[in-house]
Amino acid sequence: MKLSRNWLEDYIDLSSVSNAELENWITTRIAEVDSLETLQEPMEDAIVALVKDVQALAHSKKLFKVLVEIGSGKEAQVVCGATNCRVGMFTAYVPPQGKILVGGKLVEITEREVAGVLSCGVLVAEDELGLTNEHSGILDLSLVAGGRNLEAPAPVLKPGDKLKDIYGGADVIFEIDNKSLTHRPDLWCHFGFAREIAAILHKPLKKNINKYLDDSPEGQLAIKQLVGAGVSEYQVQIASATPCSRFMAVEIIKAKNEISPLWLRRRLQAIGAGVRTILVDLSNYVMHDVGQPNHAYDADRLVGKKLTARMATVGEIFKALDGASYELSPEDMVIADEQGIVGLAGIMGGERSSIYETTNHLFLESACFDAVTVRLSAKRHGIRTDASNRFEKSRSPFAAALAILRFVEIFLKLQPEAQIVSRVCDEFPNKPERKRIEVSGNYVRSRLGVEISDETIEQILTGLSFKVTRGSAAELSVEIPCERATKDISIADDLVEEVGRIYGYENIQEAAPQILPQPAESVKIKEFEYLVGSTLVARGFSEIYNYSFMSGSLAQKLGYDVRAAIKLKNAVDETTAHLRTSLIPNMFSAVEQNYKHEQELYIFEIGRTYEKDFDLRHLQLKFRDQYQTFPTTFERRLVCLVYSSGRDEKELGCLLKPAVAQGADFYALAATVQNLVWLSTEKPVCLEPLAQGDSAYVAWMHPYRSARVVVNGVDLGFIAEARIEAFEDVRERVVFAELDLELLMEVDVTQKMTKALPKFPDSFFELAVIMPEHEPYRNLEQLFWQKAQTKLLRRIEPLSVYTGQPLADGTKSVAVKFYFGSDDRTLAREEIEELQSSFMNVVKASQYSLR
Amino acid sequence: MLTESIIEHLKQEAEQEIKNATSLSEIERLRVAYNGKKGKLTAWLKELGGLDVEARKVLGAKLNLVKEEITSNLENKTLNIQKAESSARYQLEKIDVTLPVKAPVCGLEPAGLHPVTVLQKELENIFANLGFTIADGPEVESDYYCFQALNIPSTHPARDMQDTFFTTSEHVMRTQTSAVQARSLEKMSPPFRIVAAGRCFRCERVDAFHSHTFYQMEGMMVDKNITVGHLLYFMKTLLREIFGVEQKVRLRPGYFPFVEPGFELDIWYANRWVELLPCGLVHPQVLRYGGLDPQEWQGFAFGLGLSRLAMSRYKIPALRFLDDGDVRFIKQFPRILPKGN
Repeated sequence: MKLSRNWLEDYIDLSSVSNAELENWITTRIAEVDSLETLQEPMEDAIVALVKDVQALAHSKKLFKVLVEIGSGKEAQVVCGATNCRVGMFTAYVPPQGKILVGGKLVEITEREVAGVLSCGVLVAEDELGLTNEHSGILDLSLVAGGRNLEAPAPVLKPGDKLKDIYGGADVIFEIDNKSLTHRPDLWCHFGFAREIAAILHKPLKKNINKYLDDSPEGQLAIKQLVGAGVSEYQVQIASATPCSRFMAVEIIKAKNEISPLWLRRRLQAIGAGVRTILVDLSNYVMHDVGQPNHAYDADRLVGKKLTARMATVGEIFKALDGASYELSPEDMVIADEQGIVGLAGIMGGERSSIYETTNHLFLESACFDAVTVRLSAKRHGIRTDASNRFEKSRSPFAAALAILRFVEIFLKLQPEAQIVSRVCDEFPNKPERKRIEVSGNYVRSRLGVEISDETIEQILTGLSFKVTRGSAAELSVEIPCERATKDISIADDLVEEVGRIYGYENIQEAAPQILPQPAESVKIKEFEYLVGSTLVARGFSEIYNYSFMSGSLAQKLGYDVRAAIKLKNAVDETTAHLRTSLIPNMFSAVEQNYKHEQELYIFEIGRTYEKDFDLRHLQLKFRDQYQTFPTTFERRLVCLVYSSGRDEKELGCLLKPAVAQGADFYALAATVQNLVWLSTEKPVCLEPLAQGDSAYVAWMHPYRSARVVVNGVDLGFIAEARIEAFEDVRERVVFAELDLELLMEVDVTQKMTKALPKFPDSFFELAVIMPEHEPYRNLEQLFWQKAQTKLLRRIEPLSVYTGQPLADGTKSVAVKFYFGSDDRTLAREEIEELQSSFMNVVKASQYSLR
Repeated sequence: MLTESIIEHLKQEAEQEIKNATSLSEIERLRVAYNGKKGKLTAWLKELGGLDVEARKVLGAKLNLVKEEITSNLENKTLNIQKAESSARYQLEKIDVTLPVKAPVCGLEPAGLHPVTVLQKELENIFANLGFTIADGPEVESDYYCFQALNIPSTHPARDMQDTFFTTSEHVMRTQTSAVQARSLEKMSPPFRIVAAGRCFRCERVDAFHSHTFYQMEGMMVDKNITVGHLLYFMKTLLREIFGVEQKVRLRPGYFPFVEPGFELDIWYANRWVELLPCGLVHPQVLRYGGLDPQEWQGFAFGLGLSRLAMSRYKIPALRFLDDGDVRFIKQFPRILPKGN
């Protein structure tokens, strides 16, 4: 919303306040100033000129040679093309070296020859002076009513007088952030701000229009005194169950719909409002002046003499004054005459009854419409107006009188021949009770943390139009001004804010509270997430964030069933249609994107997925309750890893231990997963082949390079290489892993005691076993753990895997190292040899053979 | 001379041959043999011109039909062979996933944490040092915790579909970490202090300047006799810790339904006031929703926009860098977390 400084000065003397100071006062005590703009002041050079002579030019059909008197007996010859130029008119003249506005820029006037005639200076139109956008002819000062504002007397025009002395100098516009005003229905106008500024600066208001709020006897009297010619036959009515708390209107006759006075047009233009003719402009002006939206109907175009506020019927058509037609429903509130709808209540007037050039008979409406009804209606039809914007903030019905009184006051001053017809229609079925709040000075002080006297508190509240009476010694009984009582101010804490902001928050000193030392119990899983993140970074993985939503088509293409996914009711596009059920689909996109410029890729994401059904295993977790009390949906915390070395499998496989001929990237990521598991338990990761048909198998997975990650009997997730055809452009091998972090964190909750280090060294020997090529290595290990009759075996480790000559096709040789030890002795060589032969016998007795 | 039986024969012959084909090269050979420039079908098609009008019409239609059938057969067979070949190739790639392999890899690549993670951890450390509990809450939130318990009335515009994502599970994507305030009030016994950071969402299309996903940190202290001065103390301490030196700040009026009075805290930065964080004293209604008596307990709350703070802290040129997962961007960020508490 834009505020004009000149306009504010109607209400308060700001002569000693700079623009920067004013901006600071407004921002720190009322609402945020977005910007401050000083309007151009080209009027500096413009003076009043009297046209003495107008002659057609011989060489031009469009131009005239004009002689003007410019004061002190001097005259100037100007070439001019304006058709409204006539002898005897007062206009505005800018001499050479003076400046005018052309296309938003200041241009200097030079003396020059036009069509063979010397032109010394120019006669200007309103837009060239930055007054308004008017450019239909040169300024005709005799037609421009009034001076610099409503109160100023009409000027006596004299050639040579400076225009800025007559119409006032440059204006300064403060643009207020609308979002900072959503709770303040009283601040959507100049008077509202003036009232606050007066309270801040301890200055009196030049004119206090609070008295027009008819919640006081004064205001009621003002309305009663509004009488004029005859008795009006016009009526207003509020239909039952219509959320219109008040409906006022007044009939005005003998009006002239002429051009508005210059000062009024300047002000509307300065705050960015459009300018038409007085009947429309004034209605608009009053809204920006006192905040109350109102609407002027052409009374002669209304059918019948009664306006009714009611709800629309199904499918009722409303033709608005913007020319568009709207199909309404019973949720829309309207104003109707006998023939039909003449206005969408609080939003926009209708076309049929709008003001025309010839309108001279008005019916002026000022009502109070329900905020939510107006907001939803405006939203439904996509028409937000200055009026709907104000009604959305919950206006007071008492403020309806403001617009009537202010409109009539200004209008009758501008057009003394116009008359109102008695009396003001006013339907006001349920007057709200006056609201009071009891608050003590101690309460205010204890909240703000500042020593501020009861007198100061009272003074601040009174300045803001609260009525304060001292109750018992410590209590203040505060009556809320009607405009603030609709929703903004309802409890003592609201008054704390009023006092605090006017007192000045900068006057509050910081203070450390006295607190009880107590350990802060933090959410364990967050700590664990950081631990996982920093571990992965140390291993060369970079963390990325993907969105929480996923594209259904992408997920489906990868083989995920999206039917069970939670969806967004109001997704903005296909990529936000579903809540992700796995981190994988978005990670595929990230891999595609990054491979446009990377040769290898190591990334991870820690994030959540969202599911309707709970994973029951989570209910057993000890720390789950820390953040999942009152759950909505099941949110799983996952880590997703991507490993893609971009290297030849054999080349990388040689670096691994044991060396592998195939699947090096898979094994490397498996080793990283083992690292993560070690953050939680020393137990080994068991990878179980995940084949097509398995419930955890997804179509994008390589059917022979996918595994379930099981630790301590708990299924934590998977590791899987992607099928090459799952990508669009990527041609490298990419291995993904996805693990449930909460299950991982609590995968092994046994309390572990520290063990003393072994006193005696371990012994070991190696065996090479030939087994079928596709037989899992794990079977071999299990064989020894199960069949070896010894408690001395500590650990088994594979050293190498070999296929090829001289081994038979379809077989492999696995070299395994066995570690033995005892807590009470070093094993003797004989013991080792005995163990070795017994282990060899285990192999011989199995389906495998020794190499 | 083209006859129907020739066409029929051609058709059967092609069908058989395609059926017997086992490799892509065979398929290609068959395609050339039938549909190629010098193929059998092509040759017959050329001969159509020599026939009389009636025969040309009948036989031409048949021949073209056969051509279509053969083409489609070839395509289907190609797909089948490709599938079988890829399946065979995958089979050849079979690895023993049970083999425990050690990967003695170090320093693969310089790597980084996401800047929001780094910032979040740094802030959490500061607050943990001040005795705050690190709290957390769900990202899919109930209407109650996201709005109602925060004193945001059902008619508030924030509860419109155009501002907030609604899920088919009848919840919302949380629009603010403030939801954790409401949860903490219910769950924790006062006095307490919490911070909670995380993802928030708004109904918006993603472009260079906007995103439907952003990151916030919420803080709340509930105790007896809490004042605006206390809030100011914690905010100034926070900023001193972040920036290393005392910061000039100011409070000015701001409106949020869950605080009263409500403030915007501005920081003096590069010779002007910059809006940094909204804060205020906890609204009595919010305390009541949390089961506390506002006569006995008070509190303050604040919200920090992590996306914006990260951008200014690390001089990130555009919001989208936080979201688009470009590893080149991430690699620039600290590889270790800020020192813990």
